Amino acid sequence: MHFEVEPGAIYSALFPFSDLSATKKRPVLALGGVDETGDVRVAFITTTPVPVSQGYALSQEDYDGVPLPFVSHLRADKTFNLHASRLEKPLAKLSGTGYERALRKLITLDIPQFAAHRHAPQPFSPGKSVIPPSTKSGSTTSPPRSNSFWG
Amino acid sequence: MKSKVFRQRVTADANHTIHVTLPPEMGDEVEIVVVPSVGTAASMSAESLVMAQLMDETGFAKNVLDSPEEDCWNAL
Repeated sequence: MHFEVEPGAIYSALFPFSDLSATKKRPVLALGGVDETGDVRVAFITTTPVPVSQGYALSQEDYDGVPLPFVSHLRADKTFNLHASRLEKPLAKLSGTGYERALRKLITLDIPQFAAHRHAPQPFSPGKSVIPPSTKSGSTTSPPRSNSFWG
Repeated sequence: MKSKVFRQRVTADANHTIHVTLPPEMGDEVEIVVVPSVGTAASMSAESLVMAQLMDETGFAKNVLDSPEEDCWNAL
């Protein structure tokens, strides 16, 4: 490997990843640098379209310089720690905003699952379940309304 | 559970032949890939190799990454 792995850069990775004689190549986006074990966290890029919940198509504005030569879909739902020796060469580079877009997609990917878990209905257990106070009537936070219409 | 990957650094004998002793849990039939013990491939840790094999066995790797539609990347 004759290059530094740079976060936000796209590399061709030798595939299959465990086959040291592999001849296929697949593009990956480096999400960070090389860690202390020699691994790089990457997200896969495919020509196969991806649902918006799992990724998005890279646009010209996402790139810093020459884009990938094919319509490319970032698979934010498919990340992996790949050993840096499996990266063959740089292919392209995302711009600052393009890299931010990728990271933002990664960050927001799990929010629906978190919300579903956090707000899942809890079974009622008498004496244990907390009943949230009602704010509709008798609330002490707002003064009683005078009904001037009816005097 | 059978071992998935077995890695060992060996030296050929006078007949330029290597000898590998398999762990019993690996069974009797295996595939062997031989790579030089220098260079980037050799620097890949056993842990990374196992992780890579696990990735290769995912549905995404088998159905998407390994599909003919993705072979357009091979020429880059």
